Amino acid sequence: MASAPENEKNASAPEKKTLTLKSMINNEEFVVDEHVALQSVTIKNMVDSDCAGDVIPVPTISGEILALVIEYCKNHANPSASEDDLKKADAGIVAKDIYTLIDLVLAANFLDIKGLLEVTSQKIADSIKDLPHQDVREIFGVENDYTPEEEAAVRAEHDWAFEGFP
Amino acid sequence: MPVKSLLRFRCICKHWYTLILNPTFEHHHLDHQKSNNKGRLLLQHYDKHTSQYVYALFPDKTLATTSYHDLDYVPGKGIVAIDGPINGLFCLFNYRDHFIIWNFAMREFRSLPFPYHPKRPPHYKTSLWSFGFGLDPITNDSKVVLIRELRNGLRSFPDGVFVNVYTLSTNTWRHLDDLDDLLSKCLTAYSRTGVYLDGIYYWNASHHRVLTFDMGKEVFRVILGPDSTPDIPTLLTLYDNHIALCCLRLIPLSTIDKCFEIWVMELEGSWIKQFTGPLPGLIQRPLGFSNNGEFLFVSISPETWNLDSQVISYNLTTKEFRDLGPKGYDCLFKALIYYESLASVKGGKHKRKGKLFDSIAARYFFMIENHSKFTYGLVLFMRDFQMIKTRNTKPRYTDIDHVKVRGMLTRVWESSGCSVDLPEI
Repeated sequence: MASAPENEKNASAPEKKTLTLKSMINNEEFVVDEHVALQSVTIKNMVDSDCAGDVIPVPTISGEILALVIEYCKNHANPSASEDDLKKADAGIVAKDIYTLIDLVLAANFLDIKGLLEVTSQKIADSIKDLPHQDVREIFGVENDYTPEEEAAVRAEHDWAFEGFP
Repeated sequence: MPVKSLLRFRCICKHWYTLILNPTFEHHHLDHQKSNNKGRLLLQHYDKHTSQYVYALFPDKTLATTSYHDLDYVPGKGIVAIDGPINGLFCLFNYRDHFIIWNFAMREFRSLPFPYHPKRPPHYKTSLWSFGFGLDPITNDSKVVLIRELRNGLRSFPDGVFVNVYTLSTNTWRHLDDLDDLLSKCLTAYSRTGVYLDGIYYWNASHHRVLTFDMGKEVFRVILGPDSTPDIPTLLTLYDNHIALCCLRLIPLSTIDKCFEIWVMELEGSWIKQFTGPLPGLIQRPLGFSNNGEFLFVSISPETWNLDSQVISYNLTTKEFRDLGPKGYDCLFKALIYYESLASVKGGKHKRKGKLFDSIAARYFFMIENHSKFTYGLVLFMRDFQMIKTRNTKPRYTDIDHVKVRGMLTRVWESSGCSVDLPEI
């Protein structure tokens, strides 16, 4: 089904196909090559099932985050990039503060980009692993639903893990 | 994410608590480490100065640094044999009656009940034992299999082979019968532990053979090992997710001292020589692969000739050797690749706890392996028992159910074919 109109499009536009991604938060638009954008399984599904218009709206992702996602996809769409280069580039993309990383991981999850999801999650894990749990609670905006007694009991289960922490 | 951090994050909120306790999360956590090759090398060795086994953990793949600082909580100081890890758990055994399942990262352990075998005559001595720690592939449950070859006095042939299988989820031992013929011809003193892969446990067996135990079906089999390998010192280990047999061959009348061979089992009983190369004469025995692909050996230390052995790593491609640091007796080293696990094995915290009547009964009986001592142990126990009853004194072991122990003792005594008048309860 999808192949017939696609062939038509290819015939009429032999040059590189592009897609426009639009952040619904601040209405920023990004024009990217199709093969770059298709690393997102979500976008690929939209294109494959022919429900992608000229402009693909991306809800809940700000332009700043979308720019990072596209940078990642561009790096990984480059066939001549070596594994080491990609690792360095990935490290550059995730060298951000924890709040940006959380937005990025949500974007990677929504757009379904496995590699980006993994590298961002690992970076978040590395940044929070040595933090006290109170700070982690604040970062993720988690409400503490323990009573002080309950929290003390959970803490007592593995008291040694809290050595050196408040 | 280290287990230590996750344990702290259980304090964040109730949802995180249940998430981190969830078995699916536990599996993902372990799989993530395995797929990213994040295992760490754990080296058990015997420290002569403190006369204790110590565990050296190498925090990363460079094997440049060692940490000992976290290890003051190691359970059971006298416990010497270690096997695993299976799903991040180790199995420790004291060569006699005491098993411990240990989660290194959670600092939790569980003492197992004593592996009582109803048909075992109490005065028989254990002449050989082997054990293995693995996973039932169907139920995903950890199991320990213990094989004991027993002799009556000084006879030159074994009088029986007794097999017990422990299941972690039910915390019980069962015994397997009628395996004497198969097993008594296989066991060797060099095969106390072996290696586990995909539901099967493998031990070195005598006459170039390998003994296997299917952890799910609980059946033993004997398969052929590679031809013409020397009997000692060989090691069964894992190589690229295959069973591999590593051996040192002495080459008389040649310019090289020793030849190192790695045989890999491609299919059951079919072995291919994967590596062969000369080694210096100081090398004593193979220890296994480390997590960076190098091979570990026990070697005589050139400075303290013969007194202390050391662990060296050997790069199979560059043929370079490196001293890793830990020193100790040559035959008491063990190298394991360790992944952290959130699996809880609660049941003891640095002390034996709970219902231990069978372990204590074992202390009274099974360790004293002849008739006169057996009777003496029985008398001691009964005296204790009478004292509790008549004088209302505190028993020596408060966690024993004395009535149960008495019943058990009587059964053991009767099954040995002797009779004795026990004082009435």
